[in-house]
Amino acid sequence: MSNHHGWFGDPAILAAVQLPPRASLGVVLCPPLGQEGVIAYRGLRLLADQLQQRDIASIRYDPPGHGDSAPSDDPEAFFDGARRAADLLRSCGCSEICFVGLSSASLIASEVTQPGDLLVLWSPQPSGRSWLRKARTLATLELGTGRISDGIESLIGLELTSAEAERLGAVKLRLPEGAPALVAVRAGEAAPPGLTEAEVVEVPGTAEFLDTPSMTSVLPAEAITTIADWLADHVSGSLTDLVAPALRPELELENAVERVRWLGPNGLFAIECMPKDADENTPLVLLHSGAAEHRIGAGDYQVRLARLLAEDGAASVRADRRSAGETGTVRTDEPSLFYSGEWMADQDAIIAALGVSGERLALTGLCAGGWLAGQRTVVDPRLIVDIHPLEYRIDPAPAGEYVDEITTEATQLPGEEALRHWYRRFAPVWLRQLRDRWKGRAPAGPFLVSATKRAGHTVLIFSDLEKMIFERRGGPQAAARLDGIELVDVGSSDHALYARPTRERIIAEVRAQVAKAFQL
Amino acid sequence: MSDHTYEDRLAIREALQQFGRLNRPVAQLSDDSDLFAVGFTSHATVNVMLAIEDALDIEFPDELLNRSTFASIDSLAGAVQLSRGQL
Repeated sequence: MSNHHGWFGDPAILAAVQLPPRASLGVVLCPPLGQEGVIAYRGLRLLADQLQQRDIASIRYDPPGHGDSAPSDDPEAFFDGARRAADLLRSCGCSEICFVGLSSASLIASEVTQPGDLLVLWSPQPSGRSWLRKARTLATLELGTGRISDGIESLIGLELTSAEAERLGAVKLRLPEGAPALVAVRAGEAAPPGLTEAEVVEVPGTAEFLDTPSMTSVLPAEAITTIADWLADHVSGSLTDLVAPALRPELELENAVERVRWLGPNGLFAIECMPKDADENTPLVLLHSGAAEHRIGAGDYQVRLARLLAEDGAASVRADRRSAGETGTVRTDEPSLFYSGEWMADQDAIIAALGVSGERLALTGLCAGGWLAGQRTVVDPRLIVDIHPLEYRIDPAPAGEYVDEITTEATQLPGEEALRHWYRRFAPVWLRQLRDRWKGRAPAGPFLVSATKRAGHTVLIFSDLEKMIFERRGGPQAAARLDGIELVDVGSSDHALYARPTRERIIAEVRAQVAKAFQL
Repeated sequence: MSDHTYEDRLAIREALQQFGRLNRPVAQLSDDSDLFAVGFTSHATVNVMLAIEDALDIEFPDELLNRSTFASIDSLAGAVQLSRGQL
């Protein structure tokens, strides 16, 4: 068994290739679009692991212009990425190819499959037009009707040019001629029109996996095993020895060089982005993603921020903490590590592995990642930027506890609906503060005191929700008593940074803070 | 009961039962129950909306795509009538 990470082709594509020693079939796991791809990341990794155990090779990749791949504005990039991923598997020795498309990725997988290939569509969209209608509706509900700016529309976690939207919207799902195809549908759903010739199976758990915030997403173990078994049953060629893919360890950009790194004793997967003229004095910004998501951030904002920081003269590192992205093995029972000591140890390990001094270091992150940036670590950073904070605990939570509490809160007792309705609308501030205290929610003061003792400057960036919570936790009063705290209100209600204008505002603010702190 | 038709409300309740992923049976909800308080999510609102559109052969206009439209069976029924008026 061997796993390979790096870039290939032009525009360069970041790929994760998992090879058994011998195989015939290579599977292209097309990434779902936008936030779906972020949520599905760990599940598709589990599928790749299971395929490898069944002597099947696989590739996961970011399409050109998205994620950690090189920039591209080609509307064909989603499809070219899948075709080039298949070519890479062929170059390793795979004689058969299967494209797997989950949800929105079904549009890509179906479009690129050629006669003789295999195809697996998991919870497929009926058509590109139907997917666009759903994605636009969801985005309008979340972001309002002003979700289009500078000719680019924001969907949830995805920016699309009009040319890209037109290309995706034109896809009609079809089956390749003469090759087996599997359509794995949700319970009670029929296969979309045009796919009825395929073998159709119902798989459980897709809604719990995809139709939920990443924090509460549950890996669909049974669905993944069903698909892996079906693929193993449909290998028709004889196994041959595979060779390692030709991947480059670096991506050269106009002003920066990105490298794959594995950091610390737990081998945290990371992408380092260095300015081309970096030296031993170049500042380094650790960019923590929000929730327990992998390193790219909503709408790839972390990637964009890293590359812009490099233009400004700052290096950066984006790492997958434990239970996220490429780091570690995937287990279906892995606990959520929200706000845990494991995350704090991961931050310590990253900083120690990088060997960076506090004078050169800035820590920043979104929401849960911002909480981590504000925690004590092995050196005292010059700058902390906590974007959209919701949590101020000093002592870490036991693994699994935070998400278990969220899940429990969602379960209601009779009469609770009316009580919650009243509380949301009418509860006075003193009652909300009392409830926070009763539920053990930490006041902001100790967190701010701890941050100011260690960092030269601490910035908290708020939108509406976080500002309200900060006020309920006594934040403004605590901040007023401390030196070195700066509060920035970006005047948005977009906590997750799904809308392009919010992302751009946040990116500009972080760049300005880094430039000021390090006199760039 | 408002002047919205019985058929509209039946279609809305069926869509909610099938796609709403609520933590309470739809039959236990009144027409003015807060759907978000019983687990209605953004993903579920989209699936419910598409099911209502299919069942009643209408299309919700963009200006109705906000949380208040999906807050209750009453508000959905009102949106159905507004959608018909714009077709």
